[in-house]
Amino acid sequence: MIVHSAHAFLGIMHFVSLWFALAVLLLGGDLILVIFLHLLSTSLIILAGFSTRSIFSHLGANRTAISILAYEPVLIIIAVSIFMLTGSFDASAAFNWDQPLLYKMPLAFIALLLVLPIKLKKSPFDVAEAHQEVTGGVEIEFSGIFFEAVYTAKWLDYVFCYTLVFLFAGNNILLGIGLMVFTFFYLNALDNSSARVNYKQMLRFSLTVSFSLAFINLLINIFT
Amino acid sequence: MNDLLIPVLLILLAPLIGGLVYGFERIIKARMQRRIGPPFITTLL
Repeated sequence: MIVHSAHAFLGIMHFVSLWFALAVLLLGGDLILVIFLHLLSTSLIILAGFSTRSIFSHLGANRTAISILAYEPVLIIIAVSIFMLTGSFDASAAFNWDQPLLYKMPLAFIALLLVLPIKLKKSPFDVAEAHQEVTGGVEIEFSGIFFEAVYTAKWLDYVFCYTLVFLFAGNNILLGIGLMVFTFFYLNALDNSSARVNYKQMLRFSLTVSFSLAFINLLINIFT
Repeated sequence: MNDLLIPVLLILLAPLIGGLVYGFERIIKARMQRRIGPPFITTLL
């Protein structure tokens, strides 16, 4: 049922740490802490992937690590932009801000929309778990209840990402719901209508387009 | 107390909510491809 105990343990801890990151985010905690907890969670699944002898698991772990390079800088820039606007890294400051962050950070929101398919492993940026190539990547060697933990972590990632989207609505709940619904249909339409790119193209796109958009928004926030 | 209630409920129910979103997503994706798609609850079973 398990490859080895450390592999199973890392899978469970991936789930637990992701749930913890989500809890900190929903309770209005520090966004930098949230991002690093999320990073820790992804690092644990990468370690699990490397701890087996499966070549698909190794490839998946490599690709997941590259995915981190693609989306984490954008998330950090978004957190810094929120700090520049609200004066605090706390998510609660964004949730309680009197006007939606979207109005002040439209480019950052577009950058987030561009990196969400990487995080949620959707086409065209689903290289990390590309089923036709690496048959699920890091999750391939998990089975039974341990696979369930890794699979449920994927669902937690959905809630995590949609909460990040909701953050852009400030205290406007209706706008937040609207943004989440829009993001949901956007992700599915994109997933259905695009072919997978390779990891180099993904990284290049993310670091040139998404990162630049988020960074320009940050500069605008600093100088206005 | 009330300020904490919704976040705590969301945290506790997050795996269930995520699973339902995933189930709904599979149906939407199928409808975009002109298929009926799996039952909504399949992912949770």
